[in-house]
Amino acid sequence: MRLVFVVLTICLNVFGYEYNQFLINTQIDIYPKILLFDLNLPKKVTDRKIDFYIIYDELDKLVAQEIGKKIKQKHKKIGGFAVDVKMLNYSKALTDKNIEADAVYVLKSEKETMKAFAKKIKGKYIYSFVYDVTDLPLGYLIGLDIEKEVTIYINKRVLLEENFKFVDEFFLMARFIE
Amino acid sequence: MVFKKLILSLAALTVLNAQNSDLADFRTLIKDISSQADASHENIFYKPYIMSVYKGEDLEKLGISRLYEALELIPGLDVYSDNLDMKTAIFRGSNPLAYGQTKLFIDGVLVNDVFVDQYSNYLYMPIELIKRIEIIRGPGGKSDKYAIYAGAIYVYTNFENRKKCDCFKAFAKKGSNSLLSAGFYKNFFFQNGLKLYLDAYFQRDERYEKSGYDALASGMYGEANKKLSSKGEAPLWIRDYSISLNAKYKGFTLKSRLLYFKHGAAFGLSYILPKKDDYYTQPSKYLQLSKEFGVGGGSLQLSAGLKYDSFKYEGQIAPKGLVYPDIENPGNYVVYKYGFYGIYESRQRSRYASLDYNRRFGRNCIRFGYIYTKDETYDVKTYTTDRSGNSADLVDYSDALPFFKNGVSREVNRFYISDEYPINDRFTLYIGAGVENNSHEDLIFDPKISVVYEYDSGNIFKFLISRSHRNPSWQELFTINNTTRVGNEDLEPEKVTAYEANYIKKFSVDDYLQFTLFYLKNQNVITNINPERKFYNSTSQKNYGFEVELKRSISSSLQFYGNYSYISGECGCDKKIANISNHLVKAYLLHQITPNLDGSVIYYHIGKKNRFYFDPRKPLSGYDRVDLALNYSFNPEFEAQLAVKNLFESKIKQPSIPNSYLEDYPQMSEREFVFSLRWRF
Amino acid sequence: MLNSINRSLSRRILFYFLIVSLTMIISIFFTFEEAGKSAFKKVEKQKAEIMINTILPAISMNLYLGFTNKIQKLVDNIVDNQSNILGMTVVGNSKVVASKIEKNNSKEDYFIMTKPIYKPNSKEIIGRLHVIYSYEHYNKLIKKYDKLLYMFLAGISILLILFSIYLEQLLSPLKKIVMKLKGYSAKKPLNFELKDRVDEIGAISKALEEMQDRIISYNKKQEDINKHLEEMVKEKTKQLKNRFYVDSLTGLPNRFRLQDDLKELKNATVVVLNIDDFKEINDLFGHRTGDKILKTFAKKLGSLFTTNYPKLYRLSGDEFVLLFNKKMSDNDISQFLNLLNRKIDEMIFLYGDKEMNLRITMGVFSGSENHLEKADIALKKAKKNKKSYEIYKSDDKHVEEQYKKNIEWIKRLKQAIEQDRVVPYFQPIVNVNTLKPKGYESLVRILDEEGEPIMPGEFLEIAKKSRLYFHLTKIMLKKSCEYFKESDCSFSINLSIEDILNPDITEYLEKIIKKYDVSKKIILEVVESEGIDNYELVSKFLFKMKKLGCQIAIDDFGSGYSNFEHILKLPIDYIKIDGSLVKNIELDRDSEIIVTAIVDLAKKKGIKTVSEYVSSKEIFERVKSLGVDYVQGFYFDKPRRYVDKECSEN
Repeated sequence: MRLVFVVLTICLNVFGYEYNQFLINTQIDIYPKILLFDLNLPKKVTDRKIDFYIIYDELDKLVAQEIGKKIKQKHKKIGGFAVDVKMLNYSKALTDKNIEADAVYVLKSEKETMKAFAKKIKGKYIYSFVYDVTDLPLGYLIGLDIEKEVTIYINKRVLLEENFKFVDEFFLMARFIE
Repeated sequence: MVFKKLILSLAALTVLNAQNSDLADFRTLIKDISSQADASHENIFYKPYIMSVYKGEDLEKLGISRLYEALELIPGLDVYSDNLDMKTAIFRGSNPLAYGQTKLFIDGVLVNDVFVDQYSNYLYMPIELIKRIEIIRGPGGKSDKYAIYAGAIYVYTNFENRKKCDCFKAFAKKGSNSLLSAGFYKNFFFQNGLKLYLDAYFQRDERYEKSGYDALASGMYGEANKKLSSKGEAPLWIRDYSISLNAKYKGFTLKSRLLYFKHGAAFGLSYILPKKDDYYTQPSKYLQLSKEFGVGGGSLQLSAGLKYDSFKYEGQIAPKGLVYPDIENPGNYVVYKYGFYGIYESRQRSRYASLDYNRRFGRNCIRFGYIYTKDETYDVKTYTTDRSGNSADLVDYSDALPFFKNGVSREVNRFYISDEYPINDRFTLYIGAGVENNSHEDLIFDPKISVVYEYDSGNIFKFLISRSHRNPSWQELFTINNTTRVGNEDLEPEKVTAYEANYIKKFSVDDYLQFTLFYLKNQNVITNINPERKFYNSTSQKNYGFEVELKRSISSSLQFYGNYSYISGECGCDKKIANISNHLVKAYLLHQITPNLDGSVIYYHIGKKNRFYFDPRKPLSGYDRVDLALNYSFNPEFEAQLAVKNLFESKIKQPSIPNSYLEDYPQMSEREFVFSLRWRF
Repeated sequence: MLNSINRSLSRRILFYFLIVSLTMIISIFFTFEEAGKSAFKKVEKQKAEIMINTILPAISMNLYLGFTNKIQKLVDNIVDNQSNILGMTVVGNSKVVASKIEKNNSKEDYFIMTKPIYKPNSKEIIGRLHVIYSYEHYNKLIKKYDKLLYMFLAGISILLILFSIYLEQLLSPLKKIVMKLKGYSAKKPLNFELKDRVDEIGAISKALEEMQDRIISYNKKQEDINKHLEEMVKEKTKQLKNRFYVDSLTGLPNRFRLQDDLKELKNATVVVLNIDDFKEINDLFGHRTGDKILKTFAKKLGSLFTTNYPKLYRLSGDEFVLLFNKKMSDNDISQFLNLLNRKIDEMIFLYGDKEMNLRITMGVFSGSENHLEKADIALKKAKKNKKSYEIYKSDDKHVEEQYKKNIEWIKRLKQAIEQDRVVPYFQPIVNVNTLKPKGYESLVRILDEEGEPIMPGEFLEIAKKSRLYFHLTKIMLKKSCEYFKESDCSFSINLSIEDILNPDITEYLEKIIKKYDVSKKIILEVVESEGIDNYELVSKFLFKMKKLGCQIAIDDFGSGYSNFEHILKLPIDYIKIDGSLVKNIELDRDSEIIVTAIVDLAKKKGIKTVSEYVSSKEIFERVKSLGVDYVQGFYFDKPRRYVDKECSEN
């Protein structure tokens, strides 16, 4: 028995992340809707279909699947465009040459991995959403946290670099990080 | 007119792809989720009280299977069991012998019984039926409706599910000590807006623990009876059945539950080892109906409820040969050659009606209300062995020598008002007060004030000062004709003043560090630890200490949670408080081995406990306990779990009171296994 | 002018109406002129403020994000569409970011408002917004309101004139009635002509006529009514008196009636009856049953006497009185009471289906004064002697005096405590060999007003019955410890079992021992004669004190009935042999045997013995020869308030 305990404690390096279900559900409700407020959305979506990618660590596969399922159920169309939800794990996302994503929802992973992925989508006008708002400075656009109220965060640097054109009302609802 | 034009001119600026209605919908959505987050306390760090929230599904993963096991994880909290293995949560060293110092609410309904003011029968609730547990430490809590003394536990079932789904979950468990348990819940949503919730469960086990020599050996019943003392298997088994039906329709809410709880007689009602089949029952049932109205821009809720609970003990009180004073001829003694048996039963009911109103006035969020409660005992039965000692027959002494006063009642009127006011973006002030009138004191004033200061969204400070009270329980007031407990109708409520300071550091959406300092002054503390065994407002005491709680992902894939509490205290006579641990450590690690398999380790350390200053026994030594759990999800709907409890076979004991059992009450001494299956749709 | 106004009601109404109206008009005028206009101005400024606050977040957001084009568009749009806003300028980083100024107006017609632009969700200023706001709207508004005000004033004036004319006409009939009433006489009835009118004037006339009729008949009835009222008052007084004199539960006359009746009798015999153990009936069956039984008892007792005397009264609770209107011989009384007792024994009371008998105790006094008090003393005596009755004898007085004395003593004790007159006296405990004191026993004394000590025999029993006893213990503890704190003598303190069972005292004892650091010197003397029932607790306490370093003595050993075996299991250092054994040691052979046995037993157990009451050389020699270790008594010294603090041992 003692052996089992020791083995369990040593195997820490493969632990998966424990997600807050309420926060995930809130993000599922809100993130896809944010696309509506970008004036460039019609220009961006050339194939009349929004490719919404969920990027995850292999160990979070079940969580990602659950998220994907719920997004499909809740957001059949955004601004008249069909939504195509796709799963992609980090290792594939980093090795694939081209990611045909319009938006990505990024789950937790090692900081370096997340940074590398942010770099990969830079300059492609991809809406990026993070699970953990503290990951925004790694190079992602939008985060959301439950503070006293639901609070949306925008990364100002990414916003200006990519030249996203959101409506003023959306900006007024959000907070910025620099 | 002018503003309409202004807004239009603003709107005209943005050539909208999205329609205005989309924006309005988006705002409403954010507002709705914010109020849901508020209701389910997802935003507790920003709220003016110190609260821990645990989700049932998270606790399941850790192998926790009952409500009281979940409470053991909470900082500053220890679960105490007495001679009947009646459990109660002790917050920060509060008086473990006074059950009502903490209150338990199931779906918002107070379930502490009237007789002892305890809720042990509800603490066995399976974790699978619990959506969320909220624990407020200290009296500065969110509930104004009831005076909270040391802390409050709020348990929510899946009745409050916001998803409009016909959710279903079932579970079955088998484990050591012949544990067998199963249950389910189901939500129903109907087209006409009717929402129904149904749950049911049963549990049974055959737990026995080896006790030391009972109170006869200590001379509690005199020299002559010392030789009768025995030791052996104390029956700690349970039989537990419950069914609940809740409903919501057009502003009406109905909450109801039936609970049947039977427990082995443990270490005996009078501290004498009972027989294996001796038992006590604590059935309970409640029904509450409320209606919500929108009135004057605010929300008004009217509620009325009815709760029945009872206590029944049936078993051997003392063995053959007991010598005991003759009740009919004072000065003489009776020898009970057939032993002494007893059936004691007391039935209580509570009725209450309340009104609660809250609305915003500018930036003030005002809440006020009133609750009227009437508790009463309506039936007391006492059957014992013939007091002449001549026969083994049970005689009805319900009128002549009842163990408890019949027909007693108490009425409580309580008014409360509170205001939450954001002074600016960073400071939020909360002030509130409860004013109570009851049969013990004409007017009790329970004020509280707290300030939340957000330095930024990741650093939050809270300061709380509050005062509250606990009304004496029925047991403390009305027990009669009893050697081990003597009621006192002149008792005054216990009073507490608490000073708390709290700092929260948020590392990320899920990681945080929480540090709390507390200082509590308790007055009129009620105990019966005296030669007469009579309940008195005997001392005042001071409890102080701190709690540190850390949740951290050490790397993106490593989860750690741990807390440490230091608790110290003195009673009025410069003595250290008895029966509390100065050091409590609880920690767990969560482990995802493959996407389908995860495991966890929990570690508990409960430090040594001092005795009463006049008790010559050595302090009760502390213990360390390690639990393991492995979960395998076959798919998102179906999972299996193997939990191992007390891996290293620690001897876990609860303190016996002075001059009773020579040794302490054993709770767990062997490694135990629980195998569970869970389905959800 | 004022006189004529005062004489006429209509003029007065009109006059005051005019004054009130004028004041109102003037107030309205000035309020509109001053407060109203400035309020309008304020409202206009607030409006501007709200407008600016509405657009400010958008400007701040765009300024922060660097979208200057958007800001210019916003400014253009607002200035174009808002007639009140004449121009706007947004300055960021000391540069004009966007600006539009539309019209040129004269200086009085606008004001400029400047607002800082903050970074979103921060206090950092990133720019300023200047807005030129027109007063045009305000000016138009003021003109409109002025016009309205003048029209309102003119209308009010016309209304006033019309109203005054109408009022004069309306009140003229009243004048007529007044004229008529001036000539009124009771003998000459008036004729009120206006009574047929349907309005208030008609009603007044009709009422006056009816009043005239009623005055006449009223005079006639006045005398009859007075008579009737007098009778009613008498009846009510009687009822109240009855209620005052009757016991509400049994309907029997009560104590007040008895006292009144006794006043009227020169010689009388009073029997006070008390139901035995009635409290238990109440406790067992409840007050309701108790009341029922009292009622039945009163009824049954009452039915025994059909003549005028004896009369039956209920005094209180379970006490009744029988009153005879004459003096009776003891013989007669005894005969009567024996008969009564038998009758009461035969009475059966039912509780549910159970039968119950009552027993009574009686006290009797036959004589001429203080009947009730004396019968009560006799009753108490009967209770004490457990007899069914007692007849008051003149020597019963001392019972009465004893009560008074007790109360007096409690008062004295309280005073002594308050005035710090409770003091310890110390008697030496002498080593039989060296004849030098090893220590002292502290004995409680109270100093009287003259400073003379009072022996505890006088007050200790009374103190034990009242709550004052524990005060005395505490005072003795404190003063003794304080006295010996720096001495090398040991000292002993008497503790009763009550003291030991009182956690307040034991806590105090520990505290005081620690405070004065006397744990090695103090000897706790526990009195054995009181019998130790709660052996467990006493033992626990003594072991605990022993652990602290205290020594333990058993006082008056040999006098009680405690189990020797138990006592010897206690951690005892000294046994103090009971004085009654020592006193008689010369004469009583049994005493000598007991003392020898105690000394032997103690020696075997390694316990030292102390002999008290050593009052003569003979006694000393005898106890010394029996092997006692220490002696104490008048032969060596009496207890003194101040003693030598140096000792030979220790």
